[in-house]
Amino acid sequence: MDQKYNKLEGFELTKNKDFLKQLLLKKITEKKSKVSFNIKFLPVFAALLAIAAVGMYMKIDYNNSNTKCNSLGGIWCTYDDHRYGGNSKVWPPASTSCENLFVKSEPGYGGRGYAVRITGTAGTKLGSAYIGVNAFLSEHSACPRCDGIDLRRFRGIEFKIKGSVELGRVMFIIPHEGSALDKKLFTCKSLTDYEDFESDITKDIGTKWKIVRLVFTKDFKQPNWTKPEHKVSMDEVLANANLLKWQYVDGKGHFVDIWIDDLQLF
Amino acid sequence: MDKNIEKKLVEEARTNPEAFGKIFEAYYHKLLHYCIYRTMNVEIARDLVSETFFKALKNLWQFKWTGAPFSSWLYRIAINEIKMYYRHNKYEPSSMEEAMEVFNMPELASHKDLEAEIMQAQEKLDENGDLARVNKVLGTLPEKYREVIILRFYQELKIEEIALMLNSKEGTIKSVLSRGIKMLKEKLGLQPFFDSGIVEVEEQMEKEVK
Repeated sequence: MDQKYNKLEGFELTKNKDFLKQLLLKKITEKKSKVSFNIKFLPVFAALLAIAAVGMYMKIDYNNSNTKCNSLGGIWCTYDDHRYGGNSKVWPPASTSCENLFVKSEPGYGGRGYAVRITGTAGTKLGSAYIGVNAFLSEHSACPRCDGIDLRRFRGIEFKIKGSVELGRVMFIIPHEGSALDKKLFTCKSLTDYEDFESDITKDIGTKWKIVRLVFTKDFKQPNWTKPEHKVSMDEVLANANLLKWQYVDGKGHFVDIWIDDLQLF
Repeated sequence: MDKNIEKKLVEEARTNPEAFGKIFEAYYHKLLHYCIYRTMNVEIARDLVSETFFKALKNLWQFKWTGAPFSSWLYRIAINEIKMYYRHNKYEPSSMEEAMEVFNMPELASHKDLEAEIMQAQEKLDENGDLARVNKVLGTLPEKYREVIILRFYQELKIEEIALMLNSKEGTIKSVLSRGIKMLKEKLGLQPFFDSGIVEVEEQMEKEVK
């Protein structure tokens, strides 16, 4: 096509461009130097451990700042059962369309920064009332898009948690979702009818912060009642993961308070 | 950029600053121009492009080759950033600010120099009457039409590339473009459009969407 339509041809910001370039390059160099430092100065055994630790950790959110998005560009958001006629209540409020109503709470682990906190009460209307919070794993994995990321290179997930659970269970779930948006629910379509890989973390939640470390191949299973057509391998789920969930269930009429911090893959 | 060279550069760029630098050089001003067309504000456009590159660097490990050029992926990040800007009516380039705090680099350029360059560029942009006039009219169109018209006629991208960027079908892009041109025609009336005049541009646009 003729160049005449581009009215900005030759319009440049040389100084700003050079400045940004140097910042970006410094960032790459910094990442590399962190790894090489460990190899150079530590004994071989420790260096191997350091590579495992430095190379394979992927921060999702350390909540050092009160940002809307985590380090992978995804958002946090709560949900409850009101779409299915339930009367559970959750704070921060659940979104009803694609808006982001989440706010982080202070302080985070170690009395510093922020944490992801949800409080609420499981309703009494439904047999299986629930509330929960989602961590989306990329800027494109949340409503209205459903493009997940590949987590197969990681062995598991780690986070810090505290809070109180009056009755019921808190499940950590890795949903298996397709790339289509359920336009009625404003969520990505479940490929397992919500019979997803999960891990019961209720026992880890107390008044003090505790580290939860879950290995994908060891600590997760689909519910016992999973229908044969919904059974999948963990590899399939990890190949295209949209989000991670912390869900409070079986607590009819009871209160829950959960704090989450330092979420990372290993 | 040749696709094979681009592919090699992207693979290397995950750890090699030099390779990332080449990608940056190839796309910085294209993305800057796109953001200026969309916002008509040089400072906001500069921030949008900065954030786009920081996000690209951060998420490069997730990038998978699907046959689409790497630029489509970059534009998609920029398009999302622009949407966020319009949704909140403000923009904070948090990655850029964070990096500036960590890496103090006074030897490169002072904050004043950078801002002075932005101000001069904004003045230059404001003096460009043609562009301001066309953008004023474009600005009255709904976003989806404005977005496609700018990508096609200012950024000179192929319909196939735009479809990949916007995660849409080529037929849909053609029809959005066609409807957008029709709306522009109605709004512009006899008002001159681009240097060559509305008739010539309409003809060109209509040829494009057939």
